[in-house]
Amino acid sequence: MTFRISSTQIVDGSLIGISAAYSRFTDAQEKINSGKQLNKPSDNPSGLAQSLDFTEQLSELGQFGKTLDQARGFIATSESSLDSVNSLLRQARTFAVQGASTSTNDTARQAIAGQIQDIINQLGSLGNASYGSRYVFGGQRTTTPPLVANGTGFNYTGGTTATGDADLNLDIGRGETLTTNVTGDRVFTPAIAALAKLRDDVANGQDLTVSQQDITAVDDQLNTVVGIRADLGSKINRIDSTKQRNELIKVNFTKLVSDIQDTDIPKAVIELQTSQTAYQAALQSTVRAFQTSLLDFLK
Amino acid sequence: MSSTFFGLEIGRRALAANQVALDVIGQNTSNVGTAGYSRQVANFEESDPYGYPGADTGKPAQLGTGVSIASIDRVRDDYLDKRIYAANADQGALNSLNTILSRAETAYGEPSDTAIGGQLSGLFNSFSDLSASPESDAVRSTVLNKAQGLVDAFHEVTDALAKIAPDIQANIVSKVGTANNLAQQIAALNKQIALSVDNADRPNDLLDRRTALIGQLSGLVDLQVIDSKNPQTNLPTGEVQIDVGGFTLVRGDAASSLPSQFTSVNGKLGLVTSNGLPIPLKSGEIAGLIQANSQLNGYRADLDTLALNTINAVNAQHKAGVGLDGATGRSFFTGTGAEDIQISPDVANDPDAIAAAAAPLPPATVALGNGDNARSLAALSSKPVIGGFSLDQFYNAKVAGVGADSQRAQGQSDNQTKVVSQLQSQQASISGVNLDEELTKMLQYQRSYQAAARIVNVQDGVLNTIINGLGATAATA
Repeated sequence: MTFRISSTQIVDGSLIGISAAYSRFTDAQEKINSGKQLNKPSDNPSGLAQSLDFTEQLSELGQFGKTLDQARGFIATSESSLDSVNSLLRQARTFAVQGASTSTNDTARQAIAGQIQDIINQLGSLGNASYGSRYVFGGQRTTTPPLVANGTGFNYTGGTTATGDADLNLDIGRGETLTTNVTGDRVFTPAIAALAKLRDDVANGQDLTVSQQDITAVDDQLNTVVGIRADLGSKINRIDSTKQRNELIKVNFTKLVSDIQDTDIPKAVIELQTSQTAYQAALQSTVRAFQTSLLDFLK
Repeated sequence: MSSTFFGLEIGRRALAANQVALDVIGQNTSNVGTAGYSRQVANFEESDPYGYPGADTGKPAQLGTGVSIASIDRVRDDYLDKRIYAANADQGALNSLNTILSRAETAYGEPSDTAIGGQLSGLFNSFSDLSASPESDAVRSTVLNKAQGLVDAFHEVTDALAKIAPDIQANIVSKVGTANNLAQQIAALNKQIALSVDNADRPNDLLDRRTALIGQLSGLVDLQVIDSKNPQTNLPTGEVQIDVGGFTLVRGDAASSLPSQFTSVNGKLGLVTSNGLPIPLKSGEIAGLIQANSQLNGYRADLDTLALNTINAVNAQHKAGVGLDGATGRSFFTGTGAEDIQISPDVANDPDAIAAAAAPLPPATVALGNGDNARSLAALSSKPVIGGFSLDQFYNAKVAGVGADSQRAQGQSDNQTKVVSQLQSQQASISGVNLDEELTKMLQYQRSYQAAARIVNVQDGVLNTIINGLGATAATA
């Protein structure tokens, strides 16, 4: 069956064909020029929902990454202070052993007591270590130095469990809370007390007390510090492994977002070439369609 | 016995008929590019025969008297026209919906970091920063900046959506005006057509013009055309009646006016007369605009829901916390929706009032380094606070929904454009002018005309024999 074709149809058909081919051509061009295949929600609604979701999770992971860095810096500061505390306590223990010796004369004892006092002073300044503008050993009272000199000793003025303001908590993941701080009353207050007793006992020649009680007391403090440092070390490990895991997820999510939003260049270039060919073909066929007419043959 | 000049008369009739046919060809070729033109055909007819009883045989016979033009017909498929009207109406609705929705989706500015989604993340991230440095003035100011960013994003998107509504309303008024104007022109044509039909004319070109006008009107509203061929209508021959959703817009030479008041209550789209009479519309540009308006209202309501839930969730958590000054129970945001959301003046003017700290247990007082409430505020980002969805999940689903609506309107509008052009192509196949065809017919009529002239010439020769070649005159010649 043959259809009757009117001249209008040829014109309309050519126009529709040309404009469709041209629109595909410019679409392909736009994708390459912008580098994006998702420029507005209707380009790919489900892809948009996914990419928004991934973007938000990326942003959240980025934020957790920032928090992890903060936590790590804070904990590392505490840890390095406690490392110094550890060395100071070992020094003090050596002095204690010397002080307990019966061969040590009184002048030497006073000298040892003075050195122990120096250690106490150093502990006091270590207890006021800060990360950024925050005092790390003051519990939630981060803005005031937690150890305040009081005669030969120090008073702890930071937050404590008893006063309900001990812990500095950070969320390092959804519902994953990490306590980043150690309050000074757990380390410095007992260590300074033990060293003060040691100092006095050495100064007063209480050899027996020094050897039977004070050295054990210093050992106890060393154990406490070692325990706390181990805890902080494991927290740093946890932070590092969480960060590593987050980085892997971020790489994946970034790729997924890019897959959805960014133009697949090789594919787009092929599309551009195909649509260009189609456009040229539409133009050529239009020219051909109007080339022949009965008018050419009428004389 | 026929008259002496009978042969000349046959020739004359053929000349006249072919002349008319050539004129019709001229009309067709002239209007090859005229929109809405239907090609015309000159119908030849043998003229009434002449009773010619055979002198020799005595048997009755008839002698042909030549040719005449019986009619000049307009070639068009009326049924196809009705399908085109319906398709036009669907296309009109989808086109105007598509135009509005693609404008609406750009209001959200997604995908981007600075749109509402990114700003929500920004605010919650700043709460997380605050939990790590609650005593820092700089971080507190950043929280306020981020909150202002979110507030601005809500305002911008809802304003951009709100600005579309007056345009839609103005457009509806203008389209209704166009429809009423078309209705009046159709009514006027009805009158002219009926008059010429009464005079036994075939008003082909008037019919074309009326069809074109109805075609334009059909893009605006879904109409029903009832023509005089339907005996139940009692319409004068040649006139059409046009109904829109049960409302008679044109009857005979009288046109009514569509109202520009519209409604979309309970999904029933349509216009409402001043008497409150509803005129339901299923398709057409006006229906598309009304539907777009109602969808836009839905989008704005969703934004309001998101804003209200953000306000409520953040405020509830914020009120539980304590500022640096030890005071508690303060709001972070004020407002009830996307349009009026603002940072509460309590905190806007005083960053220290941001309740980063959890309320301390008595007798403890607030510690500056306590960021526990800021942690809880940051954690809201993933909490299901709107019907089982978190704020960003709700937002993502709604934006994707707007995108899907727009995508569907685009696709359907493209498809419908194809349907309309297909139908128009079918109609063009029937009623469009083909130049080759016209030229071929032209040759035919040209040759017929030449042949008729030859007949006249021959008859003239024959008569010459009788008139000049016989009798006295001939002798003197």
